[in-house]
Amino acid sequence: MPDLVDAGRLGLGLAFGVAVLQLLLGLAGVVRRTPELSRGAANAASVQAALLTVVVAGLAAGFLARDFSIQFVADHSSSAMPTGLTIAALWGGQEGSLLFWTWSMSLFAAFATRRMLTADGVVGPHGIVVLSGLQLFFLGVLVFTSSPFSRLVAAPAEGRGLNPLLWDSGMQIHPPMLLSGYMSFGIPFAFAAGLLLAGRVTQPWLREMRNWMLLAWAIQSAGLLLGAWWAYRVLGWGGYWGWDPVENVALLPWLVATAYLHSALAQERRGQLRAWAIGLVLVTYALAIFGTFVVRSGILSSVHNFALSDVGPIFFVFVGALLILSAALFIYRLPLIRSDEPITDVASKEAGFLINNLLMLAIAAATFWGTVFPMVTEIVQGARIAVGPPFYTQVNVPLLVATLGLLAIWPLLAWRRTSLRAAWRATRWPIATLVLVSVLLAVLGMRDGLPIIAIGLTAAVAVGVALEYVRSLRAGLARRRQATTGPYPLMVGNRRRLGSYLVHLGVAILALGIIASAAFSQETAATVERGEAVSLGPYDVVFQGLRSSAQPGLNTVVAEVDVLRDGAVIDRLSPSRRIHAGWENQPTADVAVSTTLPHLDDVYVLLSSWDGSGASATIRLLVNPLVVLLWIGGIVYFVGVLVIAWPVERRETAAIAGVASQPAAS
Amino acid sequence: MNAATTTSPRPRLSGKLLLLAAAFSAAVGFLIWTGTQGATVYYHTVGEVRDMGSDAYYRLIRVNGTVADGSIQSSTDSNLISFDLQDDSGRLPVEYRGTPPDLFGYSTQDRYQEVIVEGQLEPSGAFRARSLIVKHGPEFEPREIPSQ
Repeated sequence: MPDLVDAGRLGLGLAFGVAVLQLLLGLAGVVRRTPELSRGAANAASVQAALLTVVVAGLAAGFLARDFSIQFVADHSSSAMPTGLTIAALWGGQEGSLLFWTWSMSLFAAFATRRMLTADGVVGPHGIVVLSGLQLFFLGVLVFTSSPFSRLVAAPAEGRGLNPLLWDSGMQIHPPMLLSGYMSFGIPFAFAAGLLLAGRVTQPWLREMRNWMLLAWAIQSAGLLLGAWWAYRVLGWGGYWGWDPVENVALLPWLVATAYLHSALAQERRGQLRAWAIGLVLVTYALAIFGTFVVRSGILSSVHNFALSDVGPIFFVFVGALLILSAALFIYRLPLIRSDEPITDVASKEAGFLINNLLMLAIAAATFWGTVFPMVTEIVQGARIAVGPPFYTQVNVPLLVATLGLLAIWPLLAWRRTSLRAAWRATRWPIATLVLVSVLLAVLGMRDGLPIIAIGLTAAVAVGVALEYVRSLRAGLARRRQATTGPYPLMVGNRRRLGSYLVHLGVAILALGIIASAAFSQETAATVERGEAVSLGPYDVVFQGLRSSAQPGLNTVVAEVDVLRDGAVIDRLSPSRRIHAGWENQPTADVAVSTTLPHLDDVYVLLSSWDGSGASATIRLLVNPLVVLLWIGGIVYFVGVLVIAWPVERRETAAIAGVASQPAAS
Repeated sequence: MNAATTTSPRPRLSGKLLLLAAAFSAAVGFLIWTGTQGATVYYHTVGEVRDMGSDAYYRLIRVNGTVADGSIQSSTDSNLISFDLQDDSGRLPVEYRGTPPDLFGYSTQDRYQEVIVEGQLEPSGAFRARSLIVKHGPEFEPREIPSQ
């Protein structure tokens, strides 16, 4: 058996050497204006990616071989763990997650450096330098402070195992998504910083930057949604989002990236908001690194402290330096990147982008404030305070509703300006839907204003999206009828726009799920004998008995319950608790959820405790209406993202007046 | 870059939109400010709560401590749970009405469970908690490697 510790160290050392070489080549390429040198840097990026891939494979092999002489393996896995989970343990701790981060960044960088060179021969080398610098920083942190390859002098017979809360299939997908998401914001940042360094704005470069941001944003979206899903299904407190600092800081870059994607459209189509959009890219990355700092340093008290460490200060200095350098560079280049096109009319698509930006940034500002305010107070006043979920609800829910309103109206308006009459014609059906649905709900007896508006607005968004699709389909069919030569696509229209309508619909459905479940969730718990029921609203959950199963290192106690609605059995659930050896004080709940049709209630059942004989158990029951809309909305959202990002040959649109200072290189 | 246009004095946003943005920012600032006022809760130690005496009555505060071993009493019919919260500075009787959070009542290996209670002190001397949060330890790791 080869010594994985030595091999891993060697691999990391080589990768570090290559990263240094990559940065030097990149710098030389800029200074000497020699494309070959920059291409050399891009090649080095590929070599670095290959080396890190081998290193990651090596650590994974260590996990699979259950080589507990590697300290990281011994600390985060045990032989009782199934194979899939054992591999996932790779990112179960500080060192491994940093390795995963650096590795995924190297894969992205291997592609991005090449794309930079083709996108713009002058700016590209600058972008490569920035990206190489970022890579070298993270690799340096990994190699010098957090290498996963340290050896235990006496290898234990058994590893500690992963925290039971992480024993879940979600562990295989949620952390890597979020890690890659945080990481991948570095690529558009390198594009923005490269542009500022080179002092040159071209459309192909901006477009490439936008595409990478779209990718990073999509990954982060997936990470956030999977996190919500995991919290809901595994953590067992009945919710999916708790405004925990670690959740907040993951949301921040997503919000600002969302703002950027919209102002980038105004930039691309009308040459507006250009400097603003570039600034947002810089802010997004600063927030992503801030998030990493918060998660890694454990500075904020959080239920997520899975990986406390001493790399906190390093990230703190890094985020500070990043902010100062970015701001200085941005201000220095501001006259050059400023756009000249004004946004003149509120009733225009681009004004909608601006409003979107204001809303996203407002939510981000409030969330940031709520997250850091306790920290600031403690430093300044010495008093410990908590800013609870009510703060976020009070500030962010009105902003969320405003966002829904924006989604229902502005996407349907035209560019530049829309006359009042045209605006009415474009938006009358959604507006009518809003009014009709709201009135109907009120008449039907709903009394909560917020959910009424949320449902009305979501319906309005859906109608607007449907209208756009019908229009596009009709245009496509008409063209097909007239066509003498084929083939013509079924739908006519801007694919990206059609995709983003779907994303909007997904967001609206999500928002509805969030607002409704927050408003109408109910909870109870009771200790019941066999045959007795825990009741809540129309639902009865009847306890039918316990069974238990034992495997090495793991005991599972399962409660069998019948779910009844209005007295009729609709489902049978098996909530359970796992007791892992070494973690007896933390019996981990496996939640059982039944989503009822057509009411869309989640009947959420948790086994709290039981008596030794199995005759009685304490059952916790939550009825969460419309939470399922989060997952449905999420799926619609990602279908939309796919439509936007689907690779097809695209005609290069002609440069728009006042935008491209350089002719598009093609 | 076209130097002529970059230096043009044309505003990049119309006055109307600028006004809208300013009004919006002010509204959000107000929301954040009032939100901070309303949702900020101060942490106090048990000793501090004691020292505040009657000043502590009916003020929303948070107290952080461990559940005193064996002090949990729950009455099944009224959903009322009472226990003693203790820290270095003393013991505080706490009453909580409602469903206790998952994992409440499981002890950690060498000391009892750490919790945060949010609520108010009543003249009776009992702390009426409106929320009860179980703190997981600062790290999710077992004390020792399990023996084979």
